[in-house]
Amino acid sequence: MTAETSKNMGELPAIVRQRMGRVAGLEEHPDPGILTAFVEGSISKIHRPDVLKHLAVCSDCNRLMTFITPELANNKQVLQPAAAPRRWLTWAPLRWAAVSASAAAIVSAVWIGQLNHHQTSNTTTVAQVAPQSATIAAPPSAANATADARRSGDIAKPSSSPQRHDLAKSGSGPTVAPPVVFDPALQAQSRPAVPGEVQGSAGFQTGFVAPPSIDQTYQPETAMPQAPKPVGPAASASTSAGPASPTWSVADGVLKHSTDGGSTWVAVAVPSSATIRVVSATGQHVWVGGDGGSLYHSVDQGRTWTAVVPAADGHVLSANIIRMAFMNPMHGWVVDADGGYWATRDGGVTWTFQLAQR
Amino acid sequence: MTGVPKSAPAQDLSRTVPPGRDAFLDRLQGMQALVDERFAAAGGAAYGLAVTDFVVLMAEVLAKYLTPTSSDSEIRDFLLSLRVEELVLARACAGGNEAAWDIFLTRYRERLYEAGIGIAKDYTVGRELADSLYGELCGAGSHATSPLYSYMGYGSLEGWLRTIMARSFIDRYRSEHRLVSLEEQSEEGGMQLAAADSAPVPVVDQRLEAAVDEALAGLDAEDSFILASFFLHDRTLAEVAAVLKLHESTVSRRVQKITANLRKQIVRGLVRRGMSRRQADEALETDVRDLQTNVRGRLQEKLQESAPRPSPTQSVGNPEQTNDR
Repeated sequence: MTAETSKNMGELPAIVRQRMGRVAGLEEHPDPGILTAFVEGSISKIHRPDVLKHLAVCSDCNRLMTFITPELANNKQVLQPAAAPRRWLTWAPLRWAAVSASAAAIVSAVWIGQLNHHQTSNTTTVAQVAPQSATIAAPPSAANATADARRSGDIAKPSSSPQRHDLAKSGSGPTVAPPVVFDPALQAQSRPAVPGEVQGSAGFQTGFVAPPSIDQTYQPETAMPQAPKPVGPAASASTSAGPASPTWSVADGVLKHSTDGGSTWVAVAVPSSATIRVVSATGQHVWVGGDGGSLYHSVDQGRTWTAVVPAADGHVLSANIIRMAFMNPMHGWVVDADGGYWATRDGGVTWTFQLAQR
Repeated sequence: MTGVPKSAPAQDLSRTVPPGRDAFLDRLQGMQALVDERFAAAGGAAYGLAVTDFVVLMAEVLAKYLTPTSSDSEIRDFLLSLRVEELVLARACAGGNEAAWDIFLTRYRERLYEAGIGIAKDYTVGRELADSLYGELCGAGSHATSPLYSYMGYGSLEGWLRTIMARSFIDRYRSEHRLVSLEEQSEEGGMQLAAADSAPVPVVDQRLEAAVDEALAGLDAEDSFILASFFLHDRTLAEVAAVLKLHESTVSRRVQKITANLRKQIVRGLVRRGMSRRQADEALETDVRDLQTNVRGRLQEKLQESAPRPSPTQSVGNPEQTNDR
């Protein structure tokens, strides 16, 4: 704020600014729910004054507001890091040299790629990950070690780092184990039984037995319905955006594929005798998971498959896979019936493992 | 539909009961129609949720955000503002309900990626942020510490998840880049804003401090927020307007009005404390740095009177080091 602006708005004496900045005993930070309701304009009249008073004096919550308020989340730099050391790339000639070299490398790569494409266009694609399928996960590189450790640490101990915003402790009151139970009996009354339904894992409070058509299928650019899906493979959870978009589903332990928006389905063979339970697809990549830790990956929409055996920290995936999601060819996670959570950031080459606390 | 239970189901006895929940269960008995409407809006039947359990859930939310002295109209308005459909979805997911997870991932996956990228201002970091949150939500399974249990339907689930991600990002950024944490800024009995003065507190007239504190305490919450946002947090008028959902010109007028009234209140307070009007105006206009310099100057004179003449390299203080806003 410039001095001129300040004058236009009315000068505020320095003593007033100084006293405004002092707070005797700042109250507890508002929990995420209250802050969210405030940002969205749905906060109750009861809570609004306290939130405003807190935001007037708390720089941390003000900083948070900048991220979660759409109008404030602009290019304004919110987080000020410590002064970074001058790097050699700040020297202009070296910067331009680096840009030129990068551009030349990109052009070369594209040209070579086009040459290879013309030469190999009639060659059957072979899954490149096959040689690695049966190997134990290689030790993560140094570059990824910190990020992986952080991820594992975050997942394992979301509250262990000295974070000031503990999810479980935000706001007042104890952490509550909810008394609400989703009753399987009521679920059976409200929906017809489906032959061959896949049972939920005993480890979860599942009050719902998922029909085989409702599986975790993901098409990045599709508009998904928001209600539970009806029965049958023809009504897959991953309704495609158009008739040509491939859709995947699992029915009666069998992987099925549709290319006409779910009107017709074709069974797809997976080199496994295990019952297939879940499928996740993103682009050309398809992942299927089943009993006994069976995990298969295809990079060509199911034409060829490679067995993947996630292993990390002395653990090997062997329990039934009950949930899975791959957001892109590189990032995904798998949950097994024993509460194991497996995550990969490199398309299944290496995995991290965490056992859900019970 | 069944009526409101008089008490929580027996299976709840082993779980932690938030204080005041049973009192709200009693209050909800008189709001049958509202409870039924909210239950229908929640769509919990699709996940096997009974209305009795839904009522217990509502009582929990009320116990968290309201007090036993809240009126029926406040309870009613609050319940109507809750995002019950999203609340039930979150609870079903936390309970391991497969269909709920399908809906959750379908509805929120891409939005959270967008939110993560918006927070981190970087595609890769943003997607990692979102994936990390997904991992925390999904990997937690159905045990009692699933973060989704913390969502109470106050504000949208998407907004809540964005807030969680933003907090995670700030905390991660703080640990990696060694930002000054709030703990490091705090002082005895109080807390300073990062932008506030870090220099030693100057000696000022106690009457002036008292008058200023009294005037500031008299501001309502919104005026305090506007003043602090504009003068302490360096927000623009447009940003303050965006937060308060007001027009920018309205905020501009409010700022001018608040500062003018504040000065009047401070001057009145000083007059009540024995100053003349002129003295009060002068006291208010006196720059804190001048006071600091005067104090140091007086201290310097006293030292010179009582001690040997200091060498040219010794100095009591440098007025240039004081903070200036």
